[in-house]
This record gives sequence, structure tokens and C-alpha cells, in this order.
Amino acid sequence: MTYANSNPEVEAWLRKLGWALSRMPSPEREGIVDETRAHMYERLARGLTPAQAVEGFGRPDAYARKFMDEMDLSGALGSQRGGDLLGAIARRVHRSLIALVAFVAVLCLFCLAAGGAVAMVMEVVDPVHTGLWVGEAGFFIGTNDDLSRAKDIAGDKIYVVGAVLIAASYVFGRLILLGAVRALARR
Amino acid sequence: MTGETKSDAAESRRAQLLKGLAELALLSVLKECPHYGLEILDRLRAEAGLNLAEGTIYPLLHRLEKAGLTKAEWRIEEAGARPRKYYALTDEGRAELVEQQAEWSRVSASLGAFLERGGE
Repeated sequence: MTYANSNPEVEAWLRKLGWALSRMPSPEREGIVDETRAHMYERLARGLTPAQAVEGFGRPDAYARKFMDEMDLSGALGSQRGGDLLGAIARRVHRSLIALVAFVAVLCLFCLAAGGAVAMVMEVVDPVHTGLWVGEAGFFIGTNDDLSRAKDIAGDKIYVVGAVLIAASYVFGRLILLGAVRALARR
Repeated sequence: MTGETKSDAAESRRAQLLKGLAELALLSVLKECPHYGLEILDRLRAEAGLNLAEGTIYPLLHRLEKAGLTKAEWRIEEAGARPRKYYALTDEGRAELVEQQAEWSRVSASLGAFLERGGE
């Protein structure tokens, strides 16, 4: 929507807003730009200068981010796919403590699941040195070169232990991601 | 702390406090009849005392519309005038307003009593 009495400063700001919203579906993006345009021109009609009218909205990219954030979070909650949830969290790690904590927790769970998977593979390759070990250093899963320093408590049940680790990491990781995205969406 | 810094800190505290109330106040404005964004913003500033920034209202309206609490339509009120997007409460939005209002009354009453307590 453009008008004969358009203001170049306002239109330049709105053009940048449109660019910043480019990841958004077209009708939604145009709706936001048109509504912001209507608001700014009404402010101009009430006596504000173009600089004052755009200043109230801040930088176009920062303003766009408020809509993009909401779209990102509601999209992730709608799909509930692990990749979408993790992506929404990863994009906020640098600016949200909730996202940072959730990301680190999920990373730890991923490492635990990876350890379980590696142990299952290594059990086939080197069953003597692979297991769930208890020693001076505490619990660990994987391969152990010095059998005198730790005892394998899983034996041939290492496959079960590995599968439980992977399943539990997936379930807890998903719960953490869902909880974090919901918490961010409420803010 | 200088006078200006004290005033900035007070403004920041006030902004934090009011931010959470914006949604409730906005739903309340729409209880009576549909309004467009600028009108809502001006009423929240003038009548509810919420000093919201200009760019705060539309992301909130957008979120409420997506959540199904409001519905919107574009209207042209006079020939040649710019169209305005009017927002109205849905049934779900009215129910949410009732719930939020009850919660606010409960919280403000107990917090008010706590803050006004005697000198224990």
C-alpha cells in the first residue's frame, strides 16, 4: 500500500522493516508493514515529524525481531519437532539465560546419549575393554584400558544400559526444550 | 547516585512492573468495543497510566491475535482515509480477561496488604 503523499523517511524505514521480516509469510509481513505505516502516518497527521514518528518504533530490525521471535517460538511449539525446538533455543543462547541453560543441559544429555551409542558399538568391537565402569574416578561408560582400576558392572547388559541412556536423554532433552520454549514464549 | 541515574533506575523498575500488566490492560480496553492499535496505545497511556513505547503495542496485538484471544479486520472509515486494523475480543479472549482480572485482584490485594503491613 503506498499513497501519493508518502513520506520518504517513513517509507525508507518501512522498507527496511519489510526486509527484516522477509522470513515471514507474505500476507502476514505485509499486514505488519501496512499497520505500522497507518500508525506512523496518523502520528504525522497529528503533528509529529517523520523522525519522531519512526523513532518511537526504534530500529526496523529490532522491531521486526519482536515479531520474528514470536513466530519462531510459536512455530517450534506448533510443530514440536526436536530440530525446531533446538533451533529456536540455539538462536537465543546469546541473549537469554533460559535458552543458555536449556542449551547446555541438552548438550550434556547429547554427550551422554553419544557415550551410550559409542559403548554399544565398542562392545561389538572390543567387549573386554568396554562396559559401565566403577572405579576410583567414579562411574563412566565406554572403554577402559586398565582393567585393574575399575570394575565393569554392566557385563553383557551394556546394550540395555546404552539404549536406556539414549532413550532417557531423548525424553529429558525434549522435555527441557519444550519447557524452555514455553517459558520464552510466555515472556 | 546522581539524580538522573536515580530517575533512570526508577523508570526501569516502573517499566518492568508495567510490562506484565500491558496484556491485561489491553484486553480490558477491547472489552467495550473494537479499537485500532494507535487508539489502544493512547488509551493505555492516558487512562491506565502505562507508559508503553510506540513499538510495543503491535507485537502484543499480533501475539494475542495468533493465540485466538482477539480477531482483527481492516476498516476504511471515510473515503480517501487510510485503512485501520481494528481488534476485537473473541469469546476466548473474554474468558481470558475474566481469569486475568481475577488473578490480578487476588495478587494486588495480598501484595498490597503485605506492603502496607505494620512495622514488624
